[in-house]
Amino acid sequence: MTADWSDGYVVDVPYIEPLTPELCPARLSMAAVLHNQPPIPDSHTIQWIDVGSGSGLSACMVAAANPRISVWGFDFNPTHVERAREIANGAALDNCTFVEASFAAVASDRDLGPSDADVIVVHGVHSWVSPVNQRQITEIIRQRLRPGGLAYVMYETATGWSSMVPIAEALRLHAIADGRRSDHAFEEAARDVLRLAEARARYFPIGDPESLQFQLLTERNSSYAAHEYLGSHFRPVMFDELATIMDSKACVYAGSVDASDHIAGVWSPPELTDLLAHTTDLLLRQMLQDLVVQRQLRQDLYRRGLAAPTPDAQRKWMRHLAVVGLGKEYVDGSALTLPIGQVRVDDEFYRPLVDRLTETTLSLADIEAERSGMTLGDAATALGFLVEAGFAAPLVNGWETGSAVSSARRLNELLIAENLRGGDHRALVAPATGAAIESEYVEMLTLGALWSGTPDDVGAITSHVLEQLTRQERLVRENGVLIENVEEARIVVERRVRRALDRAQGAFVQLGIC
Amino acid sequence: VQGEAEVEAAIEEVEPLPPVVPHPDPRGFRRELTPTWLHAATLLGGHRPPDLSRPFRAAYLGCGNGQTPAVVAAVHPECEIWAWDFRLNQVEATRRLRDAAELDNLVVHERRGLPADLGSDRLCDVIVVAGVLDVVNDDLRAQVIEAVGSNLRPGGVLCVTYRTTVGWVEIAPVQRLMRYVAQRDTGDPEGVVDRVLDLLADLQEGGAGYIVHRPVVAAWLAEEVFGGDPAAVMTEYLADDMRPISHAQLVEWLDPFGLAYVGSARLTDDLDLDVNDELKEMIDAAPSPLVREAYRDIAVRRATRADVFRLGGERLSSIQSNEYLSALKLSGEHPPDRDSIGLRVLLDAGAIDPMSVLPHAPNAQVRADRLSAAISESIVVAADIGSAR
Repeated sequence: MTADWSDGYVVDVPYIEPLTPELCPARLSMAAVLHNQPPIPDSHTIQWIDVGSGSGLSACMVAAANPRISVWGFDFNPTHVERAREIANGAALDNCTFVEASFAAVASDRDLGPSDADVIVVHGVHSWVSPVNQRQITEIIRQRLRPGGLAYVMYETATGWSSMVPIAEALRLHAIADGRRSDHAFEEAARDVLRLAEARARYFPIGDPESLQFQLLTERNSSYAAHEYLGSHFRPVMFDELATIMDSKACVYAGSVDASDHIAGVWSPPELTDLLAHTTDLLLRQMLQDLVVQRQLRQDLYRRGLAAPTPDAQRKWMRHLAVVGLGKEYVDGSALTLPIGQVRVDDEFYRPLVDRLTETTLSLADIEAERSGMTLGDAATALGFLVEAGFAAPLVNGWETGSAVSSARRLNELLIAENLRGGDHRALVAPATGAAIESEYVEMLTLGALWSGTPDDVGAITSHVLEQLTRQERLVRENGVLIENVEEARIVVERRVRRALDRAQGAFVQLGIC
Repeated sequence: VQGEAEVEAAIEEVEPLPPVVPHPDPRGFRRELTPTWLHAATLLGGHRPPDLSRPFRAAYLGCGNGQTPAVVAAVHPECEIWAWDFRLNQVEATRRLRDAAELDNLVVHERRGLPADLGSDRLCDVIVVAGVLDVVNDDLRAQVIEAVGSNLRPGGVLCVTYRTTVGWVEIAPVQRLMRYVAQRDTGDPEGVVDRVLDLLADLQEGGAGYIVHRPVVAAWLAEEVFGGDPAAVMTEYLADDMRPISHAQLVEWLDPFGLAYVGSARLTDDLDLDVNDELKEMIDAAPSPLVREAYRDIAVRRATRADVFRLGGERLSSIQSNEYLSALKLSGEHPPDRDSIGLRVLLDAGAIDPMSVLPHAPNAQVRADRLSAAISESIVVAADIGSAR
């Protein structure tokens, strides 16, 4: 399961390959500006480092969508590094480099990679590695992040995961006793541990967020679950633990990358708004907020030294913030899921904004001008909702002028080709966002068919997609239900192909995908 | 015969069990931490007990208010008892107790830090680590474990008490918040507990999810925090960090030194008396001893453990075990079968006591009486059982 060199991390099954848009410079820049800090500068070649880069797909996403950025990925697992290089080479990305090195090696050898990074990201690592490795990671940040640079650290928080700690340990011990490969051992362990709850073990019931995770144990992708639960060092942490360590490295908490982080009202019920507003200790306020909403994970943004910009400078950066539409349709009356729960938004205000996004990009200044009496802060709230709800993503200014479209196209073609060979990628790199957007299997195959010269014909592409599905013995799923009937499957696929073709001529053009 | 619908309805009607509120271990005298008791616990766990028939050396790491090491020192005048705590007020309390009861064989380590040799080049027959490993930082924890591993005599026993992950992991975020607030409180020190409780009350009334929607957290707040003694809230929840640990973690730390798990010092913990048949079956069928202990803790939401380890695991054969058990002297009425569940229950309930293996010295009872007088609580130190009642 784990090996001597793995320091308790699961290495006998590869980690899944998520594409995480939050890591991209545009998203980090927007978060910085919304928290009154300067955006990432565009005056020099940005050095972007992913510490614990896994299979490298997110790093490749950043490299492909941002060709002027120099991307580095470090990972101790040779399997991950080999895969990352395979992706980078396959998409001919010459601006990213992957290095096989432990956290300790990177911390002790400054000649490994850039020593003056603008951005360091640590995603899916902190809550799963040993305290010694956690210290090495923060030391890497201290050594390499330049003054004014941004560090992104994602981790699972105790306020939403604490109850899973004993369960994760029981799963791990069971898997060790099992002795088989982690993914297989996990399935058996999960079944056994679920029986403890059924048999009314007094540890249950556990917190609501963890209950959901617990009930899904046997439905999870077992490779993913093995990494989530079977490592020796799984430990959700509290905000102040990391913030205090980062502070000792001269890195100050700037805010969260969550698009709604700057919107005070969504983090507490009205009864607690005053309490939070009057809590001047920043660390305490975050701890209280996490307890109030039982936060499960955090995506914290630290800055090496906080800037003290003038109000004019702040306003200028804010007004320059812009978003691009993702092609998601607005449905009147639908609710937005926010930390405090489901919230209805004002259709009369948001529908026109979303409609405009199908035609053009929107800056904060545009949103501010949408309604009289609106402040820049109100506009920032609206922008946060648009991003949080998946209608828009931060825009990379000037993305059309470089080679982003061609490098993103190469990576997208590679992802689609891998899907044709049984892969399970669910995202496309979108140069306008400097990141990736969610996509689904049929949509990706539709795009692949178009790019390989198949005529723009719904029937022909539907047949092509169905042929691929049959060849791979995959079934279509609609609203979570598998469609086994061939005719019904064809109808569903045809509908998705139509939608994909629409997006290929609409939103995907705006996003630089097509 | 019930139909499926009736069965489903019956399942839905099952009342949720009330939450198991975690409580910390008591701070005063604990007889399960005396050498005499640990000798019996090792034997009942099927392992060769430490040789306590001659003057022995025992060390208490985390001596608390000093009552347990003082009792042991009082009733065993010819033995050397060594005591240390990372909490300075506890060191002082232990020294005062030693001085009041004139216990010249109780050495209280008053200098800062834990000496690697535990104050002597003589090895220990018994080491007790009480309420330390679940509080201290990683560096001190490593020091304590190293000191235990290198100062215990082969065949000696170690008892470690700690708050478990199962019992306290959901409490820890709230305790961390409480401690954070208390540490930064700049008001009158007398009022710090009240101010922390006020904040918790505000969060509760305002509907903070973590506090309101977790049955265990809500019950713990009502019982232990709002309904508890403010002094105890200060001692148990504001004074130190809370870093609950698991049995498996402890085994992982101690295994490199050759320390093998024997069983619980609380003799009924290993009997699974409080679990239903289905859980008992799962515990019995657990694929490894570590999984078994994890399941046991989850089954009853065990909040604290008192794990006994032996340096050099040596399980007794049934013949050897019977020989030792027949030689085990017990006070009071007890069942003839020394290996019975009933015996463990009676011992745990305090109805009977194991008798001291080391013949008690002529002055032991005088010292015991002196200590009884010095401890301003209702315990009577008894030389015959090498303990207190």
